[in-house]
Amino acid sequence: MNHSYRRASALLVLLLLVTATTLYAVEVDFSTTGRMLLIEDDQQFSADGTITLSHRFTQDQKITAQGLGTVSTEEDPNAFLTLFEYQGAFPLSENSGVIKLIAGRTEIVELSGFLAPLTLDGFVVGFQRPGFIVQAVATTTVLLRPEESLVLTAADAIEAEDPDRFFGPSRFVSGLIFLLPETVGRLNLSLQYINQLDGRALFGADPGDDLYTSHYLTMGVESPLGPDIFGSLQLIGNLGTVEVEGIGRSTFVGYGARGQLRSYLPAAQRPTGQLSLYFASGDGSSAAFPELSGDVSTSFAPGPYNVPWQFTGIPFANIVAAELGGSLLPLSWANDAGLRRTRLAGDTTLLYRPFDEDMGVAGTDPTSDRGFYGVLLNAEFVFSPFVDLDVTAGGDIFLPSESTNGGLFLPGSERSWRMVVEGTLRY
Amino acid sequence: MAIYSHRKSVCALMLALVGLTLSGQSAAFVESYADSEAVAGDQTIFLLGIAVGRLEPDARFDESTVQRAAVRSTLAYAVPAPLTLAEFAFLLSEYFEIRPSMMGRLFPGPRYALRDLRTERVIFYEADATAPVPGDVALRTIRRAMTWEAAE
Repeated sequence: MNHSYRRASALLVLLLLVTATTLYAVEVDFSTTGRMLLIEDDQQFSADGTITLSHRFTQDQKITAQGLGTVSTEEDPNAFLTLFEYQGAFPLSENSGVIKLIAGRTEIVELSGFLAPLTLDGFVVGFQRPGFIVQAVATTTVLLRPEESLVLTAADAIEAEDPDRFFGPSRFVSGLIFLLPETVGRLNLSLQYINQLDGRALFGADPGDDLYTSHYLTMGVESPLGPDIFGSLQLIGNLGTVEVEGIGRSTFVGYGARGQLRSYLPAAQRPTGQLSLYFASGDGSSAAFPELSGDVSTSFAPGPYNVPWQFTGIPFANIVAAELGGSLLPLSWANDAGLRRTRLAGDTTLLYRPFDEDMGVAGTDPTSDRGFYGVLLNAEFVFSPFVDLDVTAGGDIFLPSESTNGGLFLPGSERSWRMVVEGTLRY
Repeated sequence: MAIYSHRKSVCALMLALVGLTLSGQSAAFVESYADSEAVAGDQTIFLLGIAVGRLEPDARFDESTVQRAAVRSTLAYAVPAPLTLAEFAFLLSEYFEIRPSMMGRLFPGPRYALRDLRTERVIFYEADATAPVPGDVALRTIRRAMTWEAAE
């Protein structure tokens, strides 16, 4: 019965696809990735499949749906609707501007680069004129992950049940973004406010729930620094509060900066340079408030692979990271063999933690003189014999220093490495 | 009126950019092609035939020259019927011998040709695969394909 039901469902989906494709000019794209991950002595195999359907009503209006299915030796098979969005652009009369609307499940990329890209359900409304672009965002994670949602930074990691993943309570995310292109000369300016509100605050919290709210304010400037170099600077401020009804409120403050230098060279030859730092402090001295996780992964994690980084001992907070990397030209032997799109790239990330304490609501110890160092090395080789086939081989190694008192870069963070081989075919 | 003058300028621009290759063509033919809301298969094959040297630059557009310009895989499109964007992409990839993707090699046809040419940044036109191709878009895209061929 179960098999019959599945077969009937599969046939129905196939029929719908064929009907939609032929009658409504729906474009269908598939891609499949197979991957072998070797983490020291542990071998893992996984495969992802993606199907994307898109239909364009007019040149300015489009609807897109994307589903992802995964199987692996580590987790049960799973499937998600990763995208289901309508995008429309509506020019106003007399060239006075363009209104852009995105509705549905979409990916929102925050401008400063400190916060992870988020897949969220909701609306993005934008107004664009030659001198500026303004966007308003009203979204939620409730539909996508009713029990848990993506955490933006370690400072958001309250109640993360699985610290290896970026998850926390469901939340509402709203924001206001201003982009001012070529404000002075060729300098682009961005201003952004993002608010995260704990979903339980709106729909009723249980006694003892710690309700979490955060406010992010970021400012970014970017400009050419010469004929070949482009520079950018991002500043972020984060004010977070945790409130337990009847007990009190705890606050913490985060602030960070990130500078980047990029060249205009083609991607295959592009050197990269980046210096990032992020610090946080808080006043949550009450034992009633949960400790912030010191064990949440970080945007500093290198590697191009779509697999969770295993060195989860690196917190986002209280860290300085300097990343230097670059790509080499397609190799000459590959060119001679007629194999285009070969690429060899590498990154070195130097990490420094000035404090030896875990980041917690209780704060850090700025008087500590024991610093912790770590190095992340990453190299990858991408071979694309055809434009729809990529084969990637790469590896990372994490080398933490030992402090004078015998501690490691972070508790539990030992020297470790991983290797990945993966192939992706789009068809 | 604005659209008309825009197309006139596109046409003039195309004649200048394509240069000697199409210099023998009557301006009227190229202008009519640029003005069309949906380019036809036979006209496109004729232009592509000249662009890649299968036809002499001063060839006249008629059924026999179209048949001479067509290659085996494109014969089915050598008819005065509007092309879809994917079919147009397939013609371009055949005439300019744009290296197909793996799936395009296994299953040659409009579907993968359009995707490949978007990946190669020859086609920027945002429309569904089944949408018709306006003449000015077609001319700009042929020009990009010629640039692509020269760069390769």
